[in-house]
Amino acid sequence: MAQIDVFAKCKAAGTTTTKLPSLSMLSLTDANKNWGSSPHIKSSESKQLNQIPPEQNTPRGPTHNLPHEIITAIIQFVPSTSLHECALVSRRWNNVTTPIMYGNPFLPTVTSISAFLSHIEQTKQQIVLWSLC
Amino acid sequence: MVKITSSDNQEFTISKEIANQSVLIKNMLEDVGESDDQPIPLPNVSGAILQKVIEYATMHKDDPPPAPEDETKLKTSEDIEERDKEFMQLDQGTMFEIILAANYLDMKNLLDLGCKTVANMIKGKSVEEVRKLFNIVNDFTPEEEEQIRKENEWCEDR
Repeated sequence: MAQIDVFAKCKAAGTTTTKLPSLSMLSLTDANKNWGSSPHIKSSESKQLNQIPPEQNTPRGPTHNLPHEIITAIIQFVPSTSLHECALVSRRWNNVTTPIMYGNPFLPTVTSISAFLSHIEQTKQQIVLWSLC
Repeated sequence: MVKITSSDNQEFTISKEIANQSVLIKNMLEDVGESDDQPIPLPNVSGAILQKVIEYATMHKDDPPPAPEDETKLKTSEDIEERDKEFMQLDQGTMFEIILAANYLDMKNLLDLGCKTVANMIKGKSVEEVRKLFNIVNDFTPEEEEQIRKENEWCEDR
């Protein structure tokens, strides 16, 4: 539904307003899109892209159209030692990598174990603080 | 024999054992029954990609049925067969299209192979190198990036 809302907003926006969905919103709609979606959605999307000023219309890589589940499937095979990098690539990659990284934390040394535990402790305290607010 | 057609209307005739490697086609065949000789449309896969997928399925037609997945086992990208490595020596665009096709056709082995190949490309690269490799735009603000870096410090290379 979110996808349709964005398109609807875009259509309503027409050419008169300069406010356009951010690139991250576009990538979200792409992530939700079924691969090989209907021509209608494809054409709305290209219309939407054409409205983006050239400086924002950055070239898109091959991973851009991959659904969330495929990025997850890829990251699951990335060795633990490279997950830290994956989490910093982009918002989308961060969303996929974080649960994998924390689901099976790679803690080869005592230092890493204590660093991990103190991070968890800090997060716990933050959550308690937020819940009190 | 089974007939399948690609998004660009190319028709392929393949044996049932090759067709059955795709769970999607296997289920379709079960649904329509043996008697129907209408080609199965695969509107999400182009002819060129379907050709590669058939090549893979032909190469693996005599494989034993896959063992049930062990959820507790750590996933590794190290166990790629030599013939599969050669098969995946493709340009990036084709490689990702094969991954998408394998996902759509429900061919777990091919999907895993594609994902492992990409994972191997990521392995050992810096954040900037990964972005460059797949042409990914960094959409974090510097503050957000710093925050994530801090949060995940525990798993940084030591």
